[in-house]
Amino acid sequence: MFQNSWLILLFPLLGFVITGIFSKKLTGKTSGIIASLMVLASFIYSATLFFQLKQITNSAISVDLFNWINSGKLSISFGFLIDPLSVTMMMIITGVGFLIHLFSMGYMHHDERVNTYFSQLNLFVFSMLLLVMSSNYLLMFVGWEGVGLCSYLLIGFWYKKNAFNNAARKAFIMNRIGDLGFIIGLIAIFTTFHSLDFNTVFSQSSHFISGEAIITFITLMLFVGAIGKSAKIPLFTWLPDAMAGPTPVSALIHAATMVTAGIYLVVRSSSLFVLAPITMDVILVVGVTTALVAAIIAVLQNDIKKVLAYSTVSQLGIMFIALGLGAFSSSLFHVTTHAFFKALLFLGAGSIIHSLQGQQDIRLMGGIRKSMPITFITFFIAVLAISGIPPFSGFFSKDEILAAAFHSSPIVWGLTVITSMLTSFYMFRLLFLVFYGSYRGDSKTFGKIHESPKIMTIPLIILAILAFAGGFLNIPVMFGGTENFATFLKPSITFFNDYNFEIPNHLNEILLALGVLLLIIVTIFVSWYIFVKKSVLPVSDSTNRGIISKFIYRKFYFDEIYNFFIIKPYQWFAEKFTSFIETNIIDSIINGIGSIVVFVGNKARLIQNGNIGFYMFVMIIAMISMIAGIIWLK
Amino acid sequence: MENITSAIRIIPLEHYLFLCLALFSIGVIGVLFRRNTIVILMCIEMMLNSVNLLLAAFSSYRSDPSGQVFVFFIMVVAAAEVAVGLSILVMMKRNVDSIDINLLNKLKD
Amino acid sequence: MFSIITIAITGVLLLYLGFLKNRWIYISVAITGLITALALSVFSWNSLETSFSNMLIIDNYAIAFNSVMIFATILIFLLAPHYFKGIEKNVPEIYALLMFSLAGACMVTSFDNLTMLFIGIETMSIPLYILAGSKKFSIRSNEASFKYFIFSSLATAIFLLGITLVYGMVGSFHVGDISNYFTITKEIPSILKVGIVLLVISFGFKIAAVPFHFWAPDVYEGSPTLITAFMATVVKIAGFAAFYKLLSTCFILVPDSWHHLILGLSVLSLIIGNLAAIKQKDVKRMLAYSSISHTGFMLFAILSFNSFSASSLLYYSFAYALSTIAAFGVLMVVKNHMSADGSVQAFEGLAKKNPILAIVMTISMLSMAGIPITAGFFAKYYIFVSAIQGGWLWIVIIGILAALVGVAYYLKLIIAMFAKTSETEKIVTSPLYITSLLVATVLILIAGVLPNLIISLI
Repeated sequence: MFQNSWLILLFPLLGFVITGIFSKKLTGKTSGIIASLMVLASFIYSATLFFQLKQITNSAISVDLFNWINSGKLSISFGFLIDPLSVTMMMIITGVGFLIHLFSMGYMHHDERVNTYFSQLNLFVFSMLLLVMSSNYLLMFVGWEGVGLCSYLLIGFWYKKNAFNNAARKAFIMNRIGDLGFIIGLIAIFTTFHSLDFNTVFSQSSHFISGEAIITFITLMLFVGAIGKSAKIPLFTWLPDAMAGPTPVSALIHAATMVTAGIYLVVRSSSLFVLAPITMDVILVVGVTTALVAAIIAVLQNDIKKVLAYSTVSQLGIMFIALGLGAFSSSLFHVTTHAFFKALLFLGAGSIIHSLQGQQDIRLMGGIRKSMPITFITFFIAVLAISGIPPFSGFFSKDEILAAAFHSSPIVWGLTVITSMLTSFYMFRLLFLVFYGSYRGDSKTFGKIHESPKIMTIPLIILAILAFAGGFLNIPVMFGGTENFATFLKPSITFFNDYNFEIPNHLNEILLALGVLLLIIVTIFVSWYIFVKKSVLPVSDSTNRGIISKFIYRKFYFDEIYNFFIIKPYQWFAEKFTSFIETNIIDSIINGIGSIVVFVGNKARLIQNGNIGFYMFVMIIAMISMIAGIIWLK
Repeated sequence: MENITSAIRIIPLEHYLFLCLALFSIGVIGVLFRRNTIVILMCIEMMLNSVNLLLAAFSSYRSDPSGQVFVFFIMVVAAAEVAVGLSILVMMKRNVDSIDINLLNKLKD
Repeated sequence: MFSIITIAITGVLLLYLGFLKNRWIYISVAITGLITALALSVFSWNSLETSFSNMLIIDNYAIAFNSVMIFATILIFLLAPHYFKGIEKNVPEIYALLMFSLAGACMVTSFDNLTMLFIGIETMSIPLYILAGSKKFSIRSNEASFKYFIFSSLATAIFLLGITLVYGMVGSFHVGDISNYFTITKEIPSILKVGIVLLVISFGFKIAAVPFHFWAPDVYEGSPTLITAFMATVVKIAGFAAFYKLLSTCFILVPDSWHHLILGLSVLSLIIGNLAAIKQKDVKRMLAYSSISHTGFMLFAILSFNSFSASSLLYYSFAYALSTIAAFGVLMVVKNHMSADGSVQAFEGLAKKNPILAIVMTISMLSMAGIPITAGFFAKYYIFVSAIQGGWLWIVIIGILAALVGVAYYLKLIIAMFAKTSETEKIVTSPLYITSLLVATVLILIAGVLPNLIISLI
């Protein structure tokens, strides 16, 4: 069973090849079915692996398919590491991925390049699976680059619009900056451990003491890679722009799976990260700032997908807070529940956008809950889940992180609570503005609003069930649970030596949770008061805003700052380079070399004059001089 | 047999060596400067035969028969080579009605 | 051993089958014989075998190279029926001669006695003189044939003189005795050194290393393209395998007497081969010069004898053979169907109507240029690694520069196929033909992704 786990990779690859090669021949429906079935097959296989893995005690199985690269000291096998961590990620990727494939069949059915879409989506699933299944850093890097490529392709899927292409390029470049860190990290790992294999590296890591410089360097570089992929400050601005892609893509790649790759990388390398307290602090700081900043920005956004995008950035920040605290399994638990409810939110948004013929501005929505009941109910469940209302899944996962934060530092806890309050505020703002009140768009289109077809609502319903029940995977001890999820993951993760798995006083924890819950309910009430009772609408773009509001609305001027400090000077330099150095110096050197090459080439051809006698003559001269040379030398 | 070997050894080995190298060089020079392809073929034969002579000399000086066996191989191969070479000449003669080597310069850069 | 015999018997059989006048019988018999030979060769893996009073030794080194060569021949034979379409005369004879030449090539890689090396080389070369001239009424083919004959004969004579001088000093043709001689003798007579130099020079002729390369572009251009493909792959690989084996077994202890020569041949081949290729308009000539530059790269393996160089040479041979066959395969049909001269212009706009041919050619060019995920990349990578391990950093730098120059002319062809807009007609090929091209292409990619399949063999 485990030996054949490469089949999981094969299915989506097959889907990619089939839908890619026959993209001109297949109908959109057929390619959708093929692509979905391939992902479903992978999901079923992953689930089987999951149940098998639960039964064995030593639950980390290495599957080496063959020796991949072998040169000098570098020996890398093409192999997989099947352990609780990777199986969990595989289940999320294929499970959520399958639902999103289904949804796409409805959402994309009128697009003319739907076959290309499905083949790229399958390629993404393949690369993402490769990323989480690989048993060494290099193979992981191949998957890492693969998902970056697919993300680039799918963001720019509607390539005819220039803005979308720019968004795709921005995502690609920012990811590349992160990748550079990853590559440096890889090289550092190889020079330190002489291997890139997970098992070898992690077993050797115990020889290092905590805080050693090289480990700190390695982990920092890996974290730079994670920053790029998981959209953290300072490399987060690509994710909101990435919403240019089709909405199901945003759901799969930019909410549920790819952006969590950074978290996977940190958790996978946990035995290195626990040796680097400095890195952990950096992660914590970056996580807290990102979570807070993104949440604040989200409050004033008016594009339904942008709100969700900033919410994703903020939630990823919360996951990184958990990582920084050493609560790796809590972080991964939040990854799981977040995958459910954020995918649901995005698909819900997709369903709304689909029904409103592409309208994304929430100022032009409102009052559509009657026309789209299923979308409304499922969206509502997701909002409850992300806000952390019990017993929805978000409550459990966020509560764990808050508890861990409270134990280590009250400030972190406080900031995280503020982030949660902001989260529930803007999520309910979104909900109220979209579904309540009266319709503010073009009155002619109101009659056309309809519930989406079954192929789109069924994934919504399934995800809603998961978003509701996902939290029961890991019921904390204080509520009489056994923390199944954490126990299952435990073998794959290295924790701090003094990391406390159990929190002794349950009463404190319950009180804490209740307090936070109270704050959140108050926030929701405030949101209700503002947006339903008073029917306050977000101001239009032409209205003058106050300084702070403007500051937030313009996303803290991150793009402008990058533009001013990096892009502008870069362009200036580039221009100067082309006008002066390039044309005057480099060009003349290159042209000079080029013409020398051509000149010598011409001369070399002259020798080849077709005359046998001449050839013989040259050869014999060469021969005689060689013999003479050898005798001369001694 | 003993007599022949000892007869060969009357002349010092160096002399054989010089003779053969001289023959070989004449062959090389012939290939270089002659324009008639048949003469070129003959020059190649001369080079091969100078090697044969040298092999025979070495063989008898070292009392090792394998050198002389090698001579037979060379003779067989040389015969095959000449057969092929002559047939190429015939083909050439049919096509261009000449066996002058300088006519063969259609193929060049 | 049985594999060589099978090849030879298939050749004889083909001569008799010529009476049947059915070209499908020839080709099926030839392919069957080759596949049997390949199977026999592969199954004797790890079983060291000596025959003819230890004159022939078939070890894993020989088996690996033989298998590559037999496989390359199979691919070439798959191209043959389409190539000889419409030509009825003498086809079985051409097949038979190719078989005999291949049998010689297989002997060359497995010699354990210089006699066998000589016989192998001649068995390999003599059929090729005829094959090069097999277009009997084409003056260019005549010229190619004669040039090949004259230079090969000269090389043979030099080779024989070299062997004789070595024999005169060592007293044996046997590889083991020769290497023993050098372990015992400290002071090497200069006549022996001359012998070694002559051997190196004669191999320089065979593998077309600069400055002994002059015959190659002309012969490659003038010969029928199918034969050129055979010469550029099988013959060259056999030459390299034998050259490597000769130096590594007999003369490994006296590197002084040949190291500088190899260095010079290698650097000159890289420079001249690449520079001359740039300005070529005729694709066949361009490939000939590119083949000379590949000689320069492959000589790195000989330069840097270590545990790794044999396998890097094998990998390079494999990658090079596949790319060359694919390239010549596409060239053949383009040349015949366009009523064109086989210049770069003939390839313009090929991708429009003949996407498969264009893709095959592209991958083959990328592989020759050494772009990643093709076999050519790892071929260059391994050969460079092997050279660096041998301490030849500066020559690797020259190699990298040469490879960069090489990219220019390979890309020229790719750009012509995809970017230029002139229309071409649809080229009709047979399924066998396409199969051969696709097998070569897929293997280029597989070997480019999974280099370990081959590199770990020997």
